[in-house]
Amino acid sequence: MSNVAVNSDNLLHDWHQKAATLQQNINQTILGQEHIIELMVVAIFCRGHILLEGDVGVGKTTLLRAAAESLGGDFERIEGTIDLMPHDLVYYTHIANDGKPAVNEGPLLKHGQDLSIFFFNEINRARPQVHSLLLRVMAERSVSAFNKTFHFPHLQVFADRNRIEKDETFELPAAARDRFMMELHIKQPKAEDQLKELMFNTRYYDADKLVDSADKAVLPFNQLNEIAVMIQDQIHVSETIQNYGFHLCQALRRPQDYDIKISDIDTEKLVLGGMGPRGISYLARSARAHAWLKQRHTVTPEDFHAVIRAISKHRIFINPVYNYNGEAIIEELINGVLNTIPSP
Amino acid sequence: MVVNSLLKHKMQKIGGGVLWLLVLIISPVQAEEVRSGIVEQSLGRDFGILVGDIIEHYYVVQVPAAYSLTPASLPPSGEMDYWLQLLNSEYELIAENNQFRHYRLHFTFQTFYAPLDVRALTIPALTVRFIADDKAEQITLPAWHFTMSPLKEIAPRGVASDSNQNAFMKADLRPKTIPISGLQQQVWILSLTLLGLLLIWMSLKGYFFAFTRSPFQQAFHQVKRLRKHHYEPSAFYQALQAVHLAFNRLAKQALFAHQVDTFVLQHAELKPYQQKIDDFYQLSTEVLYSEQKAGSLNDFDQLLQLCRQLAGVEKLALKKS
Repeated sequence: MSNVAVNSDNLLHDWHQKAATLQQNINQTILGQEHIIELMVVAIFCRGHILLEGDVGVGKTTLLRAAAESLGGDFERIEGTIDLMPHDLVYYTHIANDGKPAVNEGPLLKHGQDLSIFFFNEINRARPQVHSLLLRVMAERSVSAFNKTFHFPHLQVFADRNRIEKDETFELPAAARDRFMMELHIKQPKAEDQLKELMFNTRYYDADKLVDSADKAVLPFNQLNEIAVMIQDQIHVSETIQNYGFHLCQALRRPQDYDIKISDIDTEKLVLGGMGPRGISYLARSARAHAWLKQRHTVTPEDFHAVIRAISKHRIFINPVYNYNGEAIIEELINGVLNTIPSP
Repeated sequence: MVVNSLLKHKMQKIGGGVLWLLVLIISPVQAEEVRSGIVEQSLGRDFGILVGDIIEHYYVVQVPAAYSLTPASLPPSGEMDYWLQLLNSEYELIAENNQFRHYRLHFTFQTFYAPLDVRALTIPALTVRFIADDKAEQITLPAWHFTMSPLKEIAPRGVASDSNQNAFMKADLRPKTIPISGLQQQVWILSLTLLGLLLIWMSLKGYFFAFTRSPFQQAFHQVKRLRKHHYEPSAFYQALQAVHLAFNRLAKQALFAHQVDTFVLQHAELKPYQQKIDDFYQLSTEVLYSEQKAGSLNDFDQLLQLCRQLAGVEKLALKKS
């Protein structure tokens, strides 16, 4: 084994410890969301953006805040509102101390290259114009303003939306959803002891204090990009697992070709699109990161199983005829695919 | 010579008389115009007609040779009366020469009159037109009188009309079947031959035994066959695939390493072998997803042993159930 490989192995081992600390740190703040937190850590080490969705009051914002605080770097938060416009993210105007009008850099620009987390709360309350700006920020990690381009090499966008309220909201366009690596659905914990803990432990009453109580900046955020590349380089994907991953994606797009049956659904006409090149690349990247988190050097089907829902669910577009029960049908489709495609 | 000449003269006189006679006979016919009208007709029985019966009328009509039938003058199909339906009307030129033309006309009626007793009815007269250049001719097919009978059982006195065995109303006769005994034999022979060929084909392909063998028995035979080529990397891959397939068939889904615990919980009979199943999945993961190494004979033997044991367990479980 060459020295470079040994060094990479050692570095990845060190970083694995850091990832475990990060995971543990967030888990201490948020109760009963171990799997979601694990997926968030996978996304962080793939440098992917995350969209959280769930009922009201399940802890979406607290979770994202805790993750942002644990990661370190500059953190910016903005609330999605109906009157928010793209320029509100880029600059703001005010009367300066000298009494003259002034233009200053907005939340997106003011941290420069140190911006680590841009947290967009209630993203579906913002107008499509804002979503459009976000598309570029997420895809290219840059934005043009004041006749120059600003780059955010360490930027990761965390966003959340609640799925109950639909009034005065704007559904995210498919292109914007596709740019989020993962869409995580947060449900409230089911275990009785966890619910009692949330109910009676005073530690969980004050979200601000709870987030403050967690360790801050447990990772050197500005090294994450390099580590993410290293993980992708070092984790091995065999030909067998490549075939498996390929057929999983194909089956999600064309379930009829794999004889996947869903009750009362004509699978021939079910899927209109989704799991494009970006989606399948995200699936492979997150499978590798998951394998690394599990301290393996190779990707196995288990890695695909762990991440496929978070990666694919928001990327599958079904025939509007089935929209009445779309979420359940997509869930059933993914289950059908996982239960049908064998490996080897 | 005189006699001969006299005879000749007489013969000439006789011949001339015959010619005259022929002229006298034929010339009036040639001179008389062909008369238009019905030359033949077949109208069928005009009594005992029941509701729904088909009535068919055939006519052969004659017209002078210059005339031809105007198809539009034939009555159109459809209702002629509230009880009478003209189902079809046809015509055909059946004979013609330089003097006349013969057309055959065919009308099909159906009556829906439902009388309660015998009733006299009439199919009205029909007129058919013929044209020749600027002249026209028409032939009237006369009205046809007939009697319709009611659909009413005649219940003779003394015969019961209730539902006992002497009831007047009885089931119709069974329809006669076409004798197919000769064909039946051929069909049987053909079917048995095809079935025999299918069974032979299935047994040659190994499908026949596949139905009777358990998934692990099948895997055992495949691994045994592949063991002979253990030096080929693909042989061990295929052997692992065969065992995976057996697990998938038993689980009725694609089964993976991280699902083994749940699988064993669902198949309690496999519990004593869980460690061996875990070992198999671990070996499979190492070979398939990382090293891609060729299997040793020992690896093949372990697979064979696992298959044999699990096939035995499966057989036992089947017996118990």
